[in-house]
Amino acid sequence: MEITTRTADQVRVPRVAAGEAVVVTRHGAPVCAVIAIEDLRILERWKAALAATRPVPLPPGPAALAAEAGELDDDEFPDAATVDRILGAGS
Amino acid sequence: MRGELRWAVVPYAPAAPLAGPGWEGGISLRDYMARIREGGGADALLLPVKVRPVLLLHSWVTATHDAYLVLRTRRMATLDETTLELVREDADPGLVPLSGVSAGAERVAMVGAISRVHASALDDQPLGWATPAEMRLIGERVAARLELDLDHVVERRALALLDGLGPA
Repeated sequence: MEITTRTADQVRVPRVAAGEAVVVTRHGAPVCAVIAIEDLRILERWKAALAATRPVPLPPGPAALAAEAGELDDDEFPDAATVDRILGAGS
Repeated sequence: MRGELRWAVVPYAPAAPLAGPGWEGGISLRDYMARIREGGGADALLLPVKVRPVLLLHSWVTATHDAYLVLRTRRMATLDETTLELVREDADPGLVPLSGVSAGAERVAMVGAISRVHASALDDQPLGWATPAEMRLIGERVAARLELDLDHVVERRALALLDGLGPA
């Protein structure tokens, strides 16, 4: 979470207690909430815990690199029956 | 569609020196850009293509770009013994063996070999498939290989699960 800090004389926000949230609406739809700083810390810890589940980058190993590198030399082609079927479907 | 193996005409990414219809030899990226600027008809390129068995990653296509993202595959019989040993031990995250193929035609999906194939260049009949578990594993590995940021997806899923548990 990216957190921006403003001093109290820059914005007007309601006072909230720990465990309390004030939801701000625009045209009747909730757009943001004001929560106590203690609750923000809890939220940050939650998000950090979830971020730990992020998949780590998986670079390819030597087998994948060899398989990919050899692909253009691989002359595998559909069997005769498949080719006949495709040609028949196209005629 | 998703999870099916199909024969397809697969284009490979254009690489310099670039070749085009009627050009003499290949040209560099710089020369290609200059050719476009001068209106030299550089809007067609000759690309390497191969007929390959590919694994469809999704079922939907858009009306404007009637194409699928696919993983290219290779028959295990064409891999060398060292590579095969790593595949059998599941020691390489870049290769996923596919079980839904006929005996003797065992195949691996190459996680890093992503291509885009037009629907009209796909055979209409599958020659095999990946199981749901294999597709799940492929999805995880593609996400990791491409370093996709799935944080918000995970968070929303976690919140939905917490909501389902009700009040503590």
